[in-house]
Amino acid sequence: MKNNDPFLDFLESTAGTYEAAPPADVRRRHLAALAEETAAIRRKRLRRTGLLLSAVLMVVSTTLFWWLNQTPSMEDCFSNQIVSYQPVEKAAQGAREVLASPTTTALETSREATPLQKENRTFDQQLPAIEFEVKEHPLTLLPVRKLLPVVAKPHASLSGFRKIPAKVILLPMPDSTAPTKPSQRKVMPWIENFSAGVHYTPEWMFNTLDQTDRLVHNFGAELSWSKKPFSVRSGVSVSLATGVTDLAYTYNENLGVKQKLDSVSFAWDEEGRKIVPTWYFSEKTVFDTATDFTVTSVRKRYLYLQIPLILGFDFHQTQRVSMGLRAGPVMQILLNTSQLDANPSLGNNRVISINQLTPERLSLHWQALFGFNTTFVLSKRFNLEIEPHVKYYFNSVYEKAATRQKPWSLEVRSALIIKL
Amino acid sequence: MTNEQEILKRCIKGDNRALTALYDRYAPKLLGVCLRYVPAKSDAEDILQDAFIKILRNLERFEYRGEGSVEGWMRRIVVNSSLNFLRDREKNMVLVENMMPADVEAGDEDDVSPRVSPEEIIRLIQQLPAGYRTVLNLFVFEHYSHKEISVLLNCSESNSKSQLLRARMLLKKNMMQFIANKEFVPVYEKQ
Repeated sequence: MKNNDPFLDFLESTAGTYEAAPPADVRRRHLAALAEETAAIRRKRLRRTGLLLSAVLMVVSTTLFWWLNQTPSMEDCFSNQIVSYQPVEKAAQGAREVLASPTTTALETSREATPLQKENRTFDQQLPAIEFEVKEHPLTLLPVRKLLPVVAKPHASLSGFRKIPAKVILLPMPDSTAPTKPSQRKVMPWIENFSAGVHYTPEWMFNTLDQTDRLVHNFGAELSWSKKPFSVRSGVSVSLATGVTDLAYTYNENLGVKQKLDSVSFAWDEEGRKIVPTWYFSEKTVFDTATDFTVTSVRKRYLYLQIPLILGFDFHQTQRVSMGLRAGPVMQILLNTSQLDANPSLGNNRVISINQLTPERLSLHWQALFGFNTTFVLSKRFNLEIEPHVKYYFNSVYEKAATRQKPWSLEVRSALIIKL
Repeated sequence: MTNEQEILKRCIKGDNRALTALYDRYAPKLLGVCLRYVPAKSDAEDILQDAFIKILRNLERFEYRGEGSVEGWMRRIVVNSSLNFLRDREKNMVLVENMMPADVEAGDEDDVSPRVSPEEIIRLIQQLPAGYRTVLNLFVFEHYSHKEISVLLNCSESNSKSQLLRARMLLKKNMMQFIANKEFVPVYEKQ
């Protein structure tokens, strides 16, 4: 046997299979504790699922909110407009102003009831262009139509002829079918500071047990808030890592099947002169008493959930590019472990024990991230970010301290960002 | 799918009946392991409970590799729990070269095996000093090499070897004395 010592072999063969059944009260206590633990595990699973669901909900609701803000709600606008206009963008700080060129409609003609309106129409026909200053002013008194007060201003070329009194005409909000420029969409001031994005980040890890499989793939969605030059970023990422796990098998070798003598019966022959034996055998698998060892490896894939909280400072900004520093903690939760290779088989040999030499991975660990961010402005709403990082792991990724030095990694994040 | 696998799957889903079946199947064997490492039965029971909770928490991550793999895995958890307990509780479990009492000598090489029962052997192992007992258990019953023991117990490889040698000598001497006197206290009083 393995010990090569009769005394130790005797110990193993005698006491190795020793069993002691727990007393009834101890059994009850243990089972109660296990039932409690089962309930705790179930609660933990629910919490984890809730966390994931809330993260997904956050991303979905952010996307939905952004999408709804893209198309203004116009259900309450009616189709018969008194004045339609073709807006001309005019840059203004703070308040939004639109200059409109009015064109009369059939409805307007049919409603020429008052002398003032008749006078207006006469002027409109005579004068080729009148600028209207449109100011947003929600009128809550009209539940069906949202109307805008329009102040008519005299055209600059007519300033010398006669003084045109300023009049107020109520205009409906633009029709949803009217062409609007994306830059004129209604954006709440607070949301202008937010942006959402998706990223892919390859990562190269160092100081791990498996030095051949360093590459880790990270991808996910993120939401960031910025007030130049500072920014805060968070989100949800999925991280896929692979690694090799060594398993040490202790086994007894299968020597084959032997015929085991169960019993022998004797009977007189027909002549009654000889005793004829009948042998009864059964088959029995025989294993070697010597213990053998073998070490095999299997590849495993680890699925992590990452939740970062990254603070940023942009020290250089131009119209096309901005550069800055990023730093912050990252929480990483092990969601799933799956085995990529088939289970190693020892054939018909008898497995005595399996020792996993490579420790299991931790279910939760923390990292610190430091990076240099470069943002390229692709358009008014889309940015491309390239961000090389250095990540330091506060604790080992393994349950036991498998390596003396803590892991660290290099990664390059590339993200497509949409301003909300 | 074997019955064993079925039990494991149901345990993962939170089936308490499957958990009871798992406990009843393996608790006697695992308590036997605990008692080899820790003499006090109340401590052994606590270790068994802790180990079962660890087993339950890690069931999802266990990969079934045929018959015997479940027991091997659970046994490893129990051994690690016992070692952790000894580290925490028995701070004096120092593995030093000169820990051996001077008067211990190797017993006779007579064959003592037929005259001692498994329960009596466990009792004699429990009477060994904690350091000796741990090295003996890891080497003889868990099949750890001296190199692995040295890593586990944070000592040198030669230290582990000498501990084993002295444990063997002391155990054999105690066994001879026991056979001569035949005074036996049960390891574990079954109820």
